[in-house]
Amino acid sequence: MINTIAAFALGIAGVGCLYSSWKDRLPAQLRPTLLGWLLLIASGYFAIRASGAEFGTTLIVTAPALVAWLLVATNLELRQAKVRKRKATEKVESIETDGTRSLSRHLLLFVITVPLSAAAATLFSVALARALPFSYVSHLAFAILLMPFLWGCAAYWALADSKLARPVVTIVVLGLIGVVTAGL
Amino acid sequence: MNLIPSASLVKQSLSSHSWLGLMVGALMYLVCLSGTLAVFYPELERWEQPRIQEVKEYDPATLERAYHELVASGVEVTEHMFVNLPSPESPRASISSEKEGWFINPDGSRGERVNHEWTHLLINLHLYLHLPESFGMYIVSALGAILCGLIVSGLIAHPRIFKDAFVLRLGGSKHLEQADIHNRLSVWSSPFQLMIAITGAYFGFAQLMAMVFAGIYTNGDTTKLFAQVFGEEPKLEQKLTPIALSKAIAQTKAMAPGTTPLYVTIEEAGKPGQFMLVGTQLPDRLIYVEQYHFDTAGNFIDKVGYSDGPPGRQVVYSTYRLHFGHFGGFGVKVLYFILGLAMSVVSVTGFNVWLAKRKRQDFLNTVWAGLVWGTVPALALSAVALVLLGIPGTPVFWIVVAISCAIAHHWNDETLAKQRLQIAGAVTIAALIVGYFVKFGAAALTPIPIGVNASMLASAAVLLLMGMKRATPAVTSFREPDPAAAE
Repeated sequence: MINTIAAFALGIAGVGCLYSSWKDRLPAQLRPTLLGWLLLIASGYFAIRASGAEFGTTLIVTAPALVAWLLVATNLELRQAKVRKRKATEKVESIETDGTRSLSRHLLLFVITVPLSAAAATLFSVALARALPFSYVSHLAFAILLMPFLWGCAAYWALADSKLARPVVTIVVLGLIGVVTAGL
Repeated sequence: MNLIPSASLVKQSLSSHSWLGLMVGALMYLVCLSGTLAVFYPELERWEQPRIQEVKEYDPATLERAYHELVASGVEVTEHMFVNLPSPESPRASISSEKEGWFINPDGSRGERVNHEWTHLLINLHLYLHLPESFGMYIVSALGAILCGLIVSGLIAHPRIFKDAFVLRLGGSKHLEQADIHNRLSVWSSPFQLMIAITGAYFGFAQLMAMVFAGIYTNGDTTKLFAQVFGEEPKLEQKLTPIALSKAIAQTKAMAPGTTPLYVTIEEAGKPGQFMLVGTQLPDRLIYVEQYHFDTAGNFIDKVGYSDGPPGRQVVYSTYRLHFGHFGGFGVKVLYFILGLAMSVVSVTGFNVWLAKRKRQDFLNTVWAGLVWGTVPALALSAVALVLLGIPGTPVFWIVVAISCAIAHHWNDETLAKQRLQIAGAVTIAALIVGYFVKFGAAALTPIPIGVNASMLASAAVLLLMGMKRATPAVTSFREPDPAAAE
């Protein structure tokens, strides 16, 4: 029970320190930012003592959001609505675009971000997992958990890079590395 | 070292974030909202059938007798038969085949048929979007991967992540307001979102990954691979005698004191290879259960080893409870509910930010309002259909969503559509509650139905207040994007 109370209290104090550091606009050396993070780590320690390593770790990475949102709510700024009346159907601006070209570009991006990134992420995560000194049951678990993250990152990069060829080539190469090193 | 991303990286990341968000926004909203409600699926199942006799303690011998009577009554015995044991979370016993199931009364007699169709509608929406199961599972798992991309791109596209960490500006330009809500909710809950994304993706991709690994390690034999991961099934040739259910449960309790047996599965039921699998939940562990194998006579065969086997096996078997928040008691469910609701709001506000940034309004504005706010009456009416009237709920759900989108477009005003659909949501939830009391009478006054109905009533009241709020005209911000909100 003491561990639970300590975990709650330190968690609240940790987020509170981060808030205070953000709000007070103190000189950098006086801000309790580091203290806030240290208190959150300490809160995690007591959460693990109270609920075990698995429950405690899960709670400490999720629960501080609630405290933060309460502090966000106390800092709410209500503004006067700046609105202009107009009919919903009023056309403000007509944007002339080459519809076919735009559609084909979006289709290309879809192919790169979904099937291509998924395949490459699957193969590369398998290869990466096999390189680790685990049993193959653990290889499987590692690859399953890594794959969606790699896929998401590949999709992000493909859409964010101004030169599309750069991420596409990298994704394809990583996929091929996966094929070769995984022994498929 | 400068950790602040350059302006061009922020711009490109924002563009990537928008593209990914627009691709999956609508589906993500449906998956997040249904998943948020599905956190409480044990309570919703109990709410759907409030007349079932619940027990804190049970006699395994009574359940054993009930199983034999059920089999002797001519019920079709399928390959797998399931005996659900009463637990603190679901204090009711049931016996099911792969096709049908019945609750078992405390005296061992057969009770009502198991009928949780609305909860299943909700869970199927979350797991498959009501699509054919394997295809739907891949789509929803892909959403998990795209969510990872959204989290990464969102964080990089947010140069004022620390400066605006506690800022919330409501009522100004719609763009700024929606961006503030979106950013504050998503940044603080990003560890939770990442965990949900990865564990959610697991459910669909485990099979796919198993096929790849089977190609490497077991010559394409996935059954052999699964045996390595989930434990080998016993191969028995025995004389068929009535299964000794109570002996198996008693032995499990003795071998794993302090655990809670949740179920017994009879595998290869009615065949010489028949055996029992008892699943028992361990305190303070995320694995769903540890499993013990017994033969028909109740003799212990082996333990599968989820709790102390290879780390990979333990990780794989922990994803379910981690994803659904079914650990650590009711408080964790409430935490998951709040964080899940925040994810739903993030899905909606992300799309709203994009709508507000456009310099025009078209059918997307109104149809989006119809989808977001029409989902609430659609869920309520599907519950009316299934729980109160016993008619199929899935068509009702999708028809109401489609009508909401169409009617919102017909009204041609997103604010008006939003408010009217909020009121419709409140009215349909209230009608569901009234209908529930009429149908179930005194049974509606037991703790779980009271809790679920009170929660629904509270949400109806909130929707009504939102819907009755004085309308402001629907406009898109014409200002140049506020630099403070360019996140």
